[in-house]
Amino acid sequence: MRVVLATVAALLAAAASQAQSAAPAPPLRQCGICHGRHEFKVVARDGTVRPLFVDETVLARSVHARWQCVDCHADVSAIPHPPNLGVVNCQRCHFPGNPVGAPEDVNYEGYVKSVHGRLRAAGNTKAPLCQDCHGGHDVHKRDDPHAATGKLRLAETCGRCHLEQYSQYRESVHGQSLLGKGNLQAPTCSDCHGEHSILPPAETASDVSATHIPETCAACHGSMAFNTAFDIPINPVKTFKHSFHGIANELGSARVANCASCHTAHQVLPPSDPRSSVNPANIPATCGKSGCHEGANANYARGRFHIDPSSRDSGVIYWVALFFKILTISTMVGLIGHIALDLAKKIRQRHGREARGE
Amino acid sequence: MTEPLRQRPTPNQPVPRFTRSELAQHWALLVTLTVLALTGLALFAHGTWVGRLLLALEGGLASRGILHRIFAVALMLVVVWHLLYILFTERGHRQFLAMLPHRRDLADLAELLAYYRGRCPEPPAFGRFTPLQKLQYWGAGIGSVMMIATGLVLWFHTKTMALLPKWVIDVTTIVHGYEGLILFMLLFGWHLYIVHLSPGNCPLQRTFLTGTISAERLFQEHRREYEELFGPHEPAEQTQPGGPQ
Repeated sequence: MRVVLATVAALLAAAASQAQSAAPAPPLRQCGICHGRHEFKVVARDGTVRPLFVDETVLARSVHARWQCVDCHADVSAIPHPPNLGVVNCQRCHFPGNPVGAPEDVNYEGYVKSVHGRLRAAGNTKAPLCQDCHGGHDVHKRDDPHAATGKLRLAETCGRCHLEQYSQYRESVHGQSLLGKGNLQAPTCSDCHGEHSILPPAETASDVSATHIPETCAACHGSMAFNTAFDIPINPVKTFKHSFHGIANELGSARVANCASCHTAHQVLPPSDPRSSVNPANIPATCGKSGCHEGANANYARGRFHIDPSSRDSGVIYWVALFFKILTISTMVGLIGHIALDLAKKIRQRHGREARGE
Repeated sequence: MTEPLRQRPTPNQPVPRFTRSELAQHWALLVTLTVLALTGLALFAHGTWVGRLLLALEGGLASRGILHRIFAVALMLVVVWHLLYILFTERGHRQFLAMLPHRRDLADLAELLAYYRGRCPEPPAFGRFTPLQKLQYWGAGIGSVMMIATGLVLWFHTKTMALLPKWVIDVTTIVHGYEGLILFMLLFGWHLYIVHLSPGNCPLQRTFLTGTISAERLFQEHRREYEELFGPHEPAEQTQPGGPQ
């Protein structure tokens, strides 16, 4: 399958004699005879190049600095080793009660049930294993700025496969805020999709399913302190929950609009941005898509969205709601008042009749 | 039917009050408004146990919507039936004229208040429809028409939203909700109390079933109408042989 470069073959032969004395665990230094060279690579028959260089300095500053190559690449027992080694299995160390002190809080079960784990188990080699996201040699703790799964680098990591979503996200208000301004309050992929137990949006249990989206967005936008800090004048979650869309969504309707239906999933932009799906000029197209409101036109944008009838900012809606609140309460007071007067009179009359012995 | 019966009635003598058509209209309105109120409340009280219970009884969101719309059409038919009745039958026309607000209603209401407060020994001598009954009729009538109008805007929202600005739809939604609540209180609170739950009527006042009222009640509660029918003397047990039974 692979044509090993001619220069490498010679090096391997030289290494072989040294390896025999150090078996069964070749130290890092010995692997470096080949893998320490920048030019060490294989070219597949289809022309793709796979670099086999391992930067020792990268490994040395990772959380796995103290381990030897063969601790992870356990199927290497001699040098030179055969080509096509098996993939590294992180569970060798990361299991509950492991003796080497590896973190045990790995959500392996969540991964197995996730869309990634399921696809991998079904034989899709493009679906990620631990090392595809966490890095092969440059594994860091999640709060380390170098971590591939750290807040500032995760979107890029996911984007290696999910390129379209990454490019949309990078332009969105969320991506601009996090990647552009370094605002760590802005969400990255995992803040909405979850980490290990990522499920596709079509599955109800998913954090980004139609019926779970509102609470996922509410993690940030449910708080008015948060919204105010980012110039969002109303509580988008509360007002949504009181709208017909929100009520139907809460009752389990997947057909009705959720946050992402109008705001998009990855290209979220403020309404003032002409590229935004909720810019007044784009409202007809947004409301009219997916067969939701056929024939949507400019009238759909004439008025406010996410209205709170109890807020004075809602204009005519506030005044109509106030009028009807007063009307409802005064009607209630009137009706209860009449019932009270009528009851009191009839009870007094009955007492009067009894007193007169009728 | 309204021919004066000059002979003095016995207290329990049934006096015709509503025709079969009027009783049928009442039944139709009762059934449609009850289903509409229950299916409407399921949405209005969403998030509370009342809303959840009603929604479960109505088979979920989709079937709630279908039920609400079926009975909305039924309500429209009842309203049309009633309009045809008051426009094209003499009886209906006369009943409607008697139901129109009158200056005397205000005086009657003031007198009723004075009676409640003990300033007046006798309740006012009401005509065929008391001012409170007129309020119930007009409340239900205007309320139903408003609910139908706003309901149609919301039902055909894809078309109406293209014709009207969004804020009009938002206002319509609010009016439909509050008006429904007012109508609910008016009919299932007040009307039910006055007709069936108040002392003397509890547990069931049978006029809506039989279409008749006893001469005694007519004398007590609609004195002017009684006097038009029987003259000024109150109902009495007949002692002389040959009198009406």
